[in-house]
Amino acid sequence: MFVCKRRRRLAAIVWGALVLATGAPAARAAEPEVSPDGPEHGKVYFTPEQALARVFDGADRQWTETWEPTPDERAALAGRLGLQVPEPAFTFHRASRAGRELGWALVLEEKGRFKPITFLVHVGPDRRVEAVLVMVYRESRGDAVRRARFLGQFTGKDGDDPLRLNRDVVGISGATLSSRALAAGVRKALVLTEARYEGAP
Amino acid sequence: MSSRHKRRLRGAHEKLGLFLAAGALLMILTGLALQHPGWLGRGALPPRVVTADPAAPGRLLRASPALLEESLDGGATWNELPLSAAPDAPVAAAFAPPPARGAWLLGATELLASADGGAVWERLELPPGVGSGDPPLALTVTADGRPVVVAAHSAWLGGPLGEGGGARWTSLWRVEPTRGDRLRLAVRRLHTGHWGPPLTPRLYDLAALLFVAVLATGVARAARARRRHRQGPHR
Repeated sequence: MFVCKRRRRLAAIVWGALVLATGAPAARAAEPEVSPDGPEHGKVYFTPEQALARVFDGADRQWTETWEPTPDERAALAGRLGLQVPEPAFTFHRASRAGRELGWALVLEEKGRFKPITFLVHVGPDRRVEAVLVMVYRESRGDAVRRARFLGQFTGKDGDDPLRLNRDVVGISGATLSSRALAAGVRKALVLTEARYEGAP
Repeated sequence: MSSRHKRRLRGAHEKLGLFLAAGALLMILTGLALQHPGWLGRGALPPRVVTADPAAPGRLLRASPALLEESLDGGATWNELPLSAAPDAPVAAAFAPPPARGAWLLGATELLASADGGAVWERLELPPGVGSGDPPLALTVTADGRPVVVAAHSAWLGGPLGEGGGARWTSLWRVEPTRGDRLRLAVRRLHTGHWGPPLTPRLYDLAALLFVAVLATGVARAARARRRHRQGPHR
């Protein structure tokens, strides 16, 4: 009787594995293709409100400031990043607690392999990264980049750090392009904050 | 066959089984290590691509994984360019013929273009299908400053920089993959685990896990059977 139960359980596991192996690609093929990566998954891990509440925990005042870089500022940003800056404007989220500034938070998007990754970078008052949160991940694989093991590497980095994969950032195996996109995005957030709030306390 | 011969045969069979299991386990361990290169630590990341700037004697660009560097003295010294999103797997780089200052950098999954000789870059869309199932292999630039991307099964001519760059691609040729090509790709995807929905484990990992489970349960069963066999006469 006991052996029978165990056999049934084993058979169920084997069948489950087979269904997963054969059914999943078929189900995926049936969906309409919108990119080489397949349909967008768009897994939301944090809404903007949730992400801001997390990084500005305990804040008694929150506000936003929008920055539209001038052509000269844009050229200077591109020169520092080595990449064109196509966004027309940037929104800096700010907060304070008991009159003390808690830094800046930027919500940015960087393209992974096929689709953009939405993430938040919290830069502290000392211009160092306090936290990075992946808010929306749209690729079909590689969402391991949202784990603390990877994102924790950015904590404490500043604008002088290279933030390069294989150098001061260790990428996630199987999610190299997402890792690189996030590293480039964090560097962009640091450069933007420095450029906009140069000399600010 | 006498019982002594049977015992010997069973013993030889068990030893052979253990030997094969050890070999299979070694294959699994080395396979897992190769499937997850990060486990073995970081390897050397030497430059893979170098190109000379036809407008500036002595100026070279070279690309390593996630790194782009420039030399102004013919390669004696190199300075890192601030391109934080440099291709992880650079394939080719090319400059436009002077006096244009266009430069292109082709990666396995992306194309970057620069209008100022490589100081500031922008991401361009790769030709349709290139980078996903049709890996890019080579890059050249026409006399009027238009990129030509050659992939495994196709070749494409892009628009000039500033007028769409790589956004307007014209197919130069396309060779349909054969049944063998498609089969090879499917087998490779299956082997490397690039199959199924997100969070699907790599097939190799799954097979390794199943094998280890079968091995462990088999060894446990054999040990229990042996114990029972020894205890048998006393029961």
